[in-house]
Amino acid sequence: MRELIAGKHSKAAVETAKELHKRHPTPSSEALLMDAYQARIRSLLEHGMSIEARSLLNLVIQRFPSVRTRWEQLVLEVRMLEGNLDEIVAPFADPNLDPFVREKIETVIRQRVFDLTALAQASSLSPGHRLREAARALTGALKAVTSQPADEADLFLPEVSRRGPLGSWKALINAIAAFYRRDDTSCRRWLQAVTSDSVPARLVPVMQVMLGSEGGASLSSAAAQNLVAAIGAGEEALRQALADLEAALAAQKKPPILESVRAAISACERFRPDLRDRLRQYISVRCMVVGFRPNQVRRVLGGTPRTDARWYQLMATALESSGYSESLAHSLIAWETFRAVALEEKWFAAKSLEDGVLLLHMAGLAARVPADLAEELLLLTDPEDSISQAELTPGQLFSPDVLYERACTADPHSEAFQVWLDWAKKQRDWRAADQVAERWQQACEKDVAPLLWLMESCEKRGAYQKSLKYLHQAEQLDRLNPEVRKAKLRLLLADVLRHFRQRKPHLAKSGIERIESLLEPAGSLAAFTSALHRVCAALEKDHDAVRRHRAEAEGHLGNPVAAYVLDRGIVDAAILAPEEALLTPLDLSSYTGGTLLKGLAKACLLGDSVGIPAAIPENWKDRLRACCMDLTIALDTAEMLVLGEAAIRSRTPELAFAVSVRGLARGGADARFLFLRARSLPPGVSERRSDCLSAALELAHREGNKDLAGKLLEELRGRPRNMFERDDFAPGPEGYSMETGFLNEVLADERAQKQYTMLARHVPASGGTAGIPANHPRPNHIFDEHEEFPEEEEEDLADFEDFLANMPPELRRELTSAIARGASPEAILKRILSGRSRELESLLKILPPELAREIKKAIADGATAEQVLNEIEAAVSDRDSGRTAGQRQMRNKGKTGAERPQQGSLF
Amino acid sequence: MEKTNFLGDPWEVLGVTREAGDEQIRAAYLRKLKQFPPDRNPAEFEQVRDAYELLRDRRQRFRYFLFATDPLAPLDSVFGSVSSQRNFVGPEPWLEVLKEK
Repeated sequence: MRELIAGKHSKAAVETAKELHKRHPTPSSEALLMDAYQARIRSLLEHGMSIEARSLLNLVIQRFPSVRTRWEQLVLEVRMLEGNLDEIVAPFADPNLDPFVREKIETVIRQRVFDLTALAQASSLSPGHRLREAARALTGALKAVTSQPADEADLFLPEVSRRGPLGSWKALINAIAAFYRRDDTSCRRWLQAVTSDSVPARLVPVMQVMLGSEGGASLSSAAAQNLVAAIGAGEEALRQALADLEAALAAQKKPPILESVRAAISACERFRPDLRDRLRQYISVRCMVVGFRPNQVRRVLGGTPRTDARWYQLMATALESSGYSESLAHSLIAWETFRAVALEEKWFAAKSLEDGVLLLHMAGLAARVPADLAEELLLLTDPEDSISQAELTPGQLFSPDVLYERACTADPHSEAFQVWLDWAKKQRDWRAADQVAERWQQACEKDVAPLLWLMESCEKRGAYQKSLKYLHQAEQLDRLNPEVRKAKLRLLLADVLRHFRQRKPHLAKSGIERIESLLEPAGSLAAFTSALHRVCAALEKDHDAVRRHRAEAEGHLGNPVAAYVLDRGIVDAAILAPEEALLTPLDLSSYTGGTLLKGLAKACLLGDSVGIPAAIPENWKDRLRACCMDLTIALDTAEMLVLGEAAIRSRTPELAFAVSVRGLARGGADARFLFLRARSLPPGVSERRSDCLSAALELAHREGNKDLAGKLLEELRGRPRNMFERDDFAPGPEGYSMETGFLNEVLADERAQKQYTMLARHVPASGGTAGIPANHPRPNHIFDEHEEFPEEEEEDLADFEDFLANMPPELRRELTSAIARGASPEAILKRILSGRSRELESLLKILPPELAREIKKAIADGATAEQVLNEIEAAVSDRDSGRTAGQRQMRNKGKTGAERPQQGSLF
Repeated sequence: MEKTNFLGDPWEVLGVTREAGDEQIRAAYLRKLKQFPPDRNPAEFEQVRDAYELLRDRRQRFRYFLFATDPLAPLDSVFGSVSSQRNFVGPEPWLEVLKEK
């Protein structure tokens, strides 16, 4: 019988109990029958059959009157379901109400009464009854807190006792008020005060969902979903789900990521279906960034995210921001696909200004993709096939020239042409830059920049007349343009120097006169023309004129050392022997340190301004270094910087270092002096140099010094960490950002270094690594690729560099790639020099190119010649014996170097 | 990549729609300059100036449009800059939930 009741088979239980009681009537059988009836009545109540429940209840009470008192609560529940609140609360009118009955009524009110208005209007309650007053106050308060920001007075509710049957309502109303004023902590506290079996407790899980609480129940009921949607609070739950996903992505643990993605998508579908597509796109991109393959992403998202132009834009941007060569190449492909899709979606028109902007950006990317990687990618596909739906073929896509050309055709403007020209200038064929400049000139007829380049290019090739023609055109466009004036001075000066070289002083004189017409008649520039006249006179062996012009120059410069350095600069530029130019060495002992340093700085400044950079005489270096360390000699920042540059130019790193010591101690131009310090360091301390450059770049960015930042970036990219070639993994400017703590550490360390030394700066305790973006989402092991070689290996580097220089270019490239990926030069050296490497080398020459390429890659990735040859022998033996080679892994699985990130191919 | 440090929506800062052309943007910029002179509202002035720099011509606008989206930004950036609302809906929808067992 008990089992029937527990199993909710109340009808069968009643029938059986009746039968039992009929046959063997005992108190126990009666009690069992009553339990069966009670279960049956409750079952009817649960099914909303109040009339049937009431009839059965009346029947049982009639036949067994003794149960009436015991079944008081059941009676009340039946009444409650009938909506007969008056009857339920009627006993409260009796001042001598049995406490047991009171408690039962209060329990029913707590657990069943949701209509407070009805309770407040119950006719059986006396007008001032506490329950009526409490219900009325709660009705008003609920209306107030759900309709507008609540007043404190609305929440006080002195009419409602916390321990009374409506106490949980008071807590609920306070929770709702706290929810609306966004005091979520307080809201959660109030929700905890709601009794779990009370009517208000039905709202607790719903509110927890709205608060975005972890473990919030799902909203199964339509009413709950409607409430959340009407309030618009589902966003909170979605935000929480997204925060969970963010944390899982940061931890890079696959199972939590998958779980969080599912939760976030589900929350989004429930609360913000309008954001579903967009969110799926973001999540798919983020998952791919942390290394999920596209099919895994599709699986977890429950389908492919919408691959529209926006998705390709996101993907391209994400790939590009990593800064790695392979990602850059993929990013380029993504941008091209974006372009094709965006054209289809009519974001912009083909060959429009917008198209030009995008193509220009893509050209910049293509220029950053290393040539060998582009070749590798091109090998994987037919260069004539278009990429996906894109217009460009892979061959065109990886050609910066094609992209720049298209960009400038779509949007011909100076800035675009300048970028293209800058790229073309770095190409081996000088004609590339000239052709760009010519295109520029045709497209933007009023721009002088292309003419100046063409002038310079002709000048370099010795086509002086043609150069003058371009200068003339530039002058016609903008005679007063400082760049044009500067170019003219440079050209005229080149002509004068050419005549000096040809020992034709009479022809040089007319050039000097033309230069004089360009320059101010007094000051430093006048000293310059005096110096030119002096050389002219020297070539004519006119000693008086030589003395006179030297005196003039000294007068203009106010410093004999400056005049000498200037003379020497001109003589060097004209490739004349000092004796021929009647230039006798300066007796340094005759001059004070101040005169020496200031004179040199002045001459260097003047030389820089006219395009004849002065060099520091070899035998001056020690004296200059000593003078530099003498703090009694006052030097301003400009003088120090120009001296430092001259020292770098003259290959005097010790002097440059001394200048940087002084400059860093002085402060105020730390970026520039760190730049100087970096370049003064010996080749064996590349990590320290890299730290200095990165720190200088960070400071330059902070100072907004774009010019210096550009130079630093060039230096950072041009001085690869693997020391052998340009850095294939060069990140963008943001890739070199440095945290303030590490920046200060580098600055403090460099300030403390007063002696020129070959030793590397110690690795900071913080373990910071220059070049690693502070908050970059990529895993750290990816950045480990750039770690510097351990100090003990540095001794081998010189030998290794020599070794590399003498090996076939293709193999050299592979080896340097391996080093860049983290392989040890020492280990590679050992492997290459191992007994069978020569044998392998001979074999490589006769193997099919594809196989040879595979083998070279395997070696670069860590396989030894021995292993490779064994593999080949085994493969040949397998083939001869008719067996399948199976999955023979030629690559060394146990390599210790960091591996390249596995970028799932998307295309 | 041409990243910008501008926080917020430059169109919103200038009070123009996304479809606004050069002239409208310039007019809005001048209006905002009058509203936020640099000597009295330096922070607002700076924001207005930076917003104008990003939108001042078609080329700049497209550059900003192409590169301003950060796919690696926190995922809740899909909601945009507007914080979520909690609408007052009256007692009925709340009571509907309470009626359910």
